[in-house]
Amino acid sequence: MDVAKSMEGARVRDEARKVLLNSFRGLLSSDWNRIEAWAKDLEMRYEGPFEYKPGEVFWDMGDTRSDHFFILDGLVAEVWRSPNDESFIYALVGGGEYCTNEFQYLLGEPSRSRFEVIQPTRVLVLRPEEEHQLRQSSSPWEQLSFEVGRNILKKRRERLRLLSGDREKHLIHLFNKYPGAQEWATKEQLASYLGVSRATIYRILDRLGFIVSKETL
Amino acid sequence: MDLSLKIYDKLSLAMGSSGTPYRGGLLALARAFQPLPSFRRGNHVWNPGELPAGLYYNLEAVFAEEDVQPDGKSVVRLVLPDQLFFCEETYFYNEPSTTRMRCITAGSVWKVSASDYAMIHREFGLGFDLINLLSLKTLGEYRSRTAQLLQCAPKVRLEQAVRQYPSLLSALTREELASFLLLSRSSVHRILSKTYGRG
Repeated sequence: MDVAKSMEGARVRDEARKVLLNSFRGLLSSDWNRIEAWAKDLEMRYEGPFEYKPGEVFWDMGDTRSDHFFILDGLVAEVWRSPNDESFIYALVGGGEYCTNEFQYLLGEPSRSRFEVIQPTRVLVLRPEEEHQLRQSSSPWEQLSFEVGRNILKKRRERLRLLSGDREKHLIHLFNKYPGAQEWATKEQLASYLGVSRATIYRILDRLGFIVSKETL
Repeated sequence: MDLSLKIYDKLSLAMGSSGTPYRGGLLALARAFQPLPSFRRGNHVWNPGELPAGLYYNLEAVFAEEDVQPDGKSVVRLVLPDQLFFCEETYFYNEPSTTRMRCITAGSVWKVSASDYAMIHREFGLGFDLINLLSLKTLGEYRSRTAQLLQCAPKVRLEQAVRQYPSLLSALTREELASFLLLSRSSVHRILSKTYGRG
């Protein structure tokens, strides 16, 4: 029984690492032949997969660690406290995407956001100590960071575009991109993500046919 | 102050300690900026579909970067005086622009051409540090702008925008301000009258 469990664990780990390596390959495709050995070394440095349940956090406001997370599957919300001292869901991050404590990693400041799990999520994690070792020798780490950053910028630009338009379209886009949000995200989380009131989110969901029976407001 | 020194200070300050190894490269980059013909209100620095490669420095104008989509347009960001700016799609992805950079307040702009930029980048081995720095600047701008648009209360939305862009009220017409904040003109008028004593 233990052997079977252990074999299953090894299989899950192998599959998770394949997903990560494929992600690297997608990001660094133009230089892949030159970089492949380095990417395999990087992949080996990730720990996991780890499982998180809804409500658990990757990191909280004020945290100063900046582990690098690669999401295998699931959905996580970045709850951000703006300079106005108000909290919003700034971004959602799902399978195949990367996230880190941006405030610490990029600005050297304690986090002003919290990464909170919305639906059961599996991740691989690269610790800063491992990243530090990678940076000591000449490596394509900066190139990989740039490619990951480009995707994040594209995503944030798209979010701005969606926020400037119709909220219904934004919600449909969200559900298409992260189908788990429809089942797992609460009305409060959806309202926070779209920047509307709870009553408005009910109206939108009702209009789109996502609320079958009338719920109390 | 010599303009290239001003730009150099801006670049090296932004790069902080990571800029130290690149002093020569940053100085060469700052010196390579050349003036473009002055922009007047309504002129465009670039339009959708163009490939505006290179890096720009806005000396004294005000620009609005507009995202042009089939179902309308939205303002992505404002570029105020003394700011570096660039077309993100072309600079980061070598793709045609989907935005229009429109001049709101007249002034002059300086630019490093794509070929000069590439040559200096190669010669001084600027690597990914400079581009990552500019990504960081863009990330910060997006975060602030997203917060503005997530803010439900119009008054707070305007106050936050004024904090981010202190010269906002004098730079934009009321109509432009309403469009930037996604508010109606009457809301903008009401808030300005009540909060800032100007309508």
